[in-house]
Amino acid sequence: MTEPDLESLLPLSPSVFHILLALADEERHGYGIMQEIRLRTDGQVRLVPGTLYGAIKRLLAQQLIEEVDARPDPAIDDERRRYYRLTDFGQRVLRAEAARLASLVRQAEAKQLLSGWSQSLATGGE
Amino acid sequence: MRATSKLLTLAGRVYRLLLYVYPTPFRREYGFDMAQVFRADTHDTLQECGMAGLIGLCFLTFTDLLKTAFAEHIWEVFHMPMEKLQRLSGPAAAIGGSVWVSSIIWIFGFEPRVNWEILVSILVVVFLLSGLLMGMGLGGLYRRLPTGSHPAKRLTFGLSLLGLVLYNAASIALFLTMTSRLDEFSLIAIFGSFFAYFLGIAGMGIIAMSGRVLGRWSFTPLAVSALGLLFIIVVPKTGEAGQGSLAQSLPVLALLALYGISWLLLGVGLWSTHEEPLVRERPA
Repeated sequence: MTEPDLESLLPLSPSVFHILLALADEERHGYGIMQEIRLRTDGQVRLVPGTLYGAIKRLLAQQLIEEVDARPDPAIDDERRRYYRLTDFGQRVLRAEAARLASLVRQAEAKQLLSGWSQSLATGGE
Repeated sequence: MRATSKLLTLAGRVYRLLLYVYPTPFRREYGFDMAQVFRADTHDTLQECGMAGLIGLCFLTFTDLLKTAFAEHIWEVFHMPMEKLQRLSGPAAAIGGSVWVSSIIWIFGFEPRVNWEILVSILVVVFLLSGLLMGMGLGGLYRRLPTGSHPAKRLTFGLSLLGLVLYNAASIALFLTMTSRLDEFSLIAIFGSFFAYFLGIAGMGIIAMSGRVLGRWSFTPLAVSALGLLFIIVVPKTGEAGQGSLAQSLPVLALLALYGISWLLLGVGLWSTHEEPLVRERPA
C-alpha cells in the first residue's frame, strides 16, 4: 500500500498530535495513551473514548500507527488490550508537525509575544 | 464502597448501551476497547477526584459520544462501498420522493398555521433531506448507466450534482438570512441551479431510456426532469399572472406532488433492478 502524501496530512489536529506524541517513545494501549496525555499536560488535555478511537481508526487508515501483533503477558496486563505503535511514516509526520509548530513559536518569539509569558504562567497570570 | 462499585457498574452498562449510537462496523471494531477504557477511566477518576470528577467525566464522555457518533456516521456514508450505495440508492430515492410529496401536501395543501420563519425552516429541512436522498438515487442511477468511457454520462451526472449542491446551498443561504423577499440575483441563482439539476437528470434519463437500464421504469428519470423543468417554467408564470400564493394554485400543487411521485417511482426502478448486472458497452 502506498503512503499518503506527508504534507497533505499537516497540520495535525491537537488530539491527533497528542496521540502520536504519546506513542513516540513506546507502544501503548488506548487507556495508556489517555493516561500519558493527561499526565504530560497536567490534566489540561483529556481525551475520552469516542475521540480517542475515532482518531485511532483514522491514524490506522493513514498508516501513521499500527497495531502491535504481540499480546501482553496475561499476568501483567489484560491480553485483550490492543497495543499501538508509531510507524516510520507516522514518526516522519510527527517530526514534520513538531517542526511546523516550533517554527510558529519562533515567529511568535520574534514578535515578542512570548516575553514574560513563562513568568506570567508561573505567577498564575497575575 | 459497595454503592460506588454499583454506580460504576451502572455507568459502564449505560455506556455500553449508548455505544449502539455508533455505526455497526465501528462499534464491532472498537466497542469492546471503548467500554474497557471507559471502565478504567471512571474507576480511576472516582478514586482521584471523587463523585464530582466522575460526574464531570460522564458528562464529557456522553457529549463526546454524540459528537463522534455523528462524525462516524458521516464517515461511513462517504466511505460506503459502491455495492452498498447501489443497493441503498433505490430506497433512498423512494424515501426522498415520499418525504417531498408528504411535505408538499402538508405545507401547501393544508396551509399549517405557523409563522413564516418556521415554514421556511421546515421547507429547507425538506429540501436538504430529500436532496440528500435524491442525490443518493442519482448516484445509483449513474452506476446503472452503461460503463466505460461515456463522456455524456459523466457530464450529465456532474451537471445534476452541481445543480443539486447549488440549490441546497441556496436553500441554506435563504434559511440563514431568513429573508422574506428574494432579490433578482437570488432568484436567478436558484432557478439557474434548478435548471442545471434537471438538465443533468434529463441527460441521464435519455441514456437510461436508450439502454433500458431500469427495465419498465426506464422512463422515470426523464419524468423527474420533465416535471422539474415544467415546474420552473410554470412558477414564474403563476406569479406574473397574479394568481396569488402557490398554495392557491392547484396545478402547481399537483405538479410538485407528481415530481415527488416520479422520484418515488425512480426509487422503485432502481430497487427492482439493483441485482441485475450493470450494463456493459459493446466493444467497438
